[in-house]
Amino acid sequence: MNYTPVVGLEIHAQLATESKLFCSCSTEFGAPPNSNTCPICLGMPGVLPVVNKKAVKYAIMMALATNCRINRRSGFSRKNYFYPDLPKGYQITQYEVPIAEDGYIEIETDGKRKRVGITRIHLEEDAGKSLHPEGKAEEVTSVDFNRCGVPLIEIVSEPEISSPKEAVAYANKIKQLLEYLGICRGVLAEGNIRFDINVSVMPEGAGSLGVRTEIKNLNSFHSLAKAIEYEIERQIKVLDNGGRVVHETRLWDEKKLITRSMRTKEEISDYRYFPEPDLLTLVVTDKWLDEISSTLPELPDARCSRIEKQYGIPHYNASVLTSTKPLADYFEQVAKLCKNSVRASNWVITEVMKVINERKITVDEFSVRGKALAELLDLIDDGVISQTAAKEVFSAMLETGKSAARIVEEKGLFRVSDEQAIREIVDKVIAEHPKEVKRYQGGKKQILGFFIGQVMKLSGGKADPKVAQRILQEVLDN
Amino acid sequence: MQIENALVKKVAALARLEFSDDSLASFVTEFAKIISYIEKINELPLEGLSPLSHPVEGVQMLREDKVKGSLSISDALSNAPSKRDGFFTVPRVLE
Repeated sequence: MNYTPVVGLEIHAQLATESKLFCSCSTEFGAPPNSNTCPICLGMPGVLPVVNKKAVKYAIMMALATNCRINRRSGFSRKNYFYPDLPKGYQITQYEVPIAEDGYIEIETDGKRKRVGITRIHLEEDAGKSLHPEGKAEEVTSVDFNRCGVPLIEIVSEPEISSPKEAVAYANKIKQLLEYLGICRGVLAEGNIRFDINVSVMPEGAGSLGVRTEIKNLNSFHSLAKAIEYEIERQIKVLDNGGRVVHETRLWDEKKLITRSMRTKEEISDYRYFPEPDLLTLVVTDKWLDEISSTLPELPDARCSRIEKQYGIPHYNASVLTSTKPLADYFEQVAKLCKNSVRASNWVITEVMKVINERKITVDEFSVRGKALAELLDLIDDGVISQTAAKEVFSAMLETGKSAARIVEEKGLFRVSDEQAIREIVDKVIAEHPKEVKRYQGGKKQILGFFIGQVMKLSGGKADPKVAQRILQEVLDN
Repeated sequence: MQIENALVKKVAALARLEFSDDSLASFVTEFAKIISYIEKINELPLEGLSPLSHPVEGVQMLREDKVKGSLSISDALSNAPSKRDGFFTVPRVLE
């Protein structure tokens, strides 16, 4: 039997506000335990939450970026459950009417574009953090309430994702949007973005969806893909063996790379949602909405097509360069200052990204700034140095922080396009390789590349390869 | 709405409350009374009215995103029955 996987994602993103959603405590990550708390986020009696305007603004920005309809009137509810990291005994969230609904984003996998629907985006508060120290004599759970009340948006997708690859593309796009908007720090390792997934498989030809399972709190793209992959295979196995998939929440075991049953899902009514009596209707006025829309930054898709056209670079280059905002900013800085923007695009995605990935640093931490790289690239286009020599200069710039021009001068890397100098090298290469010369003259014209390579090598990468090729052909063909 | 022992027990479990079987019977009676009182609302003709999402008219005021001080760690923990190294501690919740 063939099955079609059906996957939906719920993404929790922490909003990069200074203060919490309902109180004025700091949202700083990594502060000493319980140092950013107050009577409101500790859930003490008699306190009143007051909504953070910037958190609402950020939620609206994400809603606009994902083509959602903004609800001009939305409300907050209490979601009731007991857990040590939830001091109030309820989470303030949006239930009946969220701030935004009915949007979509476009994703691209294997060159194919696909639209994935967004069901809703709602605002809610984060819970605290429970730690379960291992191997301690006293069997306790330690609780840090610093994270209590940090603003989150939950972005709920339609169940329209059909593979682990698409799920990663979708999650990546959401992360990219959050970063472009500057509304989320986007560090997965710090839990800024967390994924809940629901997975089911539909027998081919069946009209309705299969029973779904949920997996909560995945915090990397890798575990997102692995968990979906595992769960699809597990459910197919269950069904193929005549079994039934049970509707439940499963736990992702990061070490064993499996999902396992946690508990049967509590009925939704068990959360006993009811309107939060301490908060009034959240109203978004026309004026405010216009203000937010008009200050929305350029988004990745728009930037990708603009960069492609404006600098005349290939679509692939443009899409890699716009994958993150800092990378796109860096490229544009180089491209604006240098003569050859196609060369700039190639250098940024190969040489610059190689260093960034190897050193595990961010674009902003990369020491060769845009202006310095532009100067280096212009040396190639001005015919001062060869492409090969440029790579050597680039490494030296990384190590020493000196300018390209200075390194070229110190190392004497000026490109040799002086005919006489190259002719001498060509003669030497030909004299050293009589066998190859015979083969070439016997018709093996393709070994010309070998000779050019030898000339480049002997010249220390400084010879102009075009001149070398012309002289080689001249000498060999006569 | 029929109020049964099972419903009262479920509500008690959700609220983490424990009580004797004697009081269970009295809760069943009291719940029934309260619910039937509230159910009177259902007799109102409500066609064509939009749901009331909040009993209080008015618009939520918003505050600027400014950090103002928090409690000191010792003040935050001062009411905790159990604490250690700056953390609140509770009986272990994971097996």
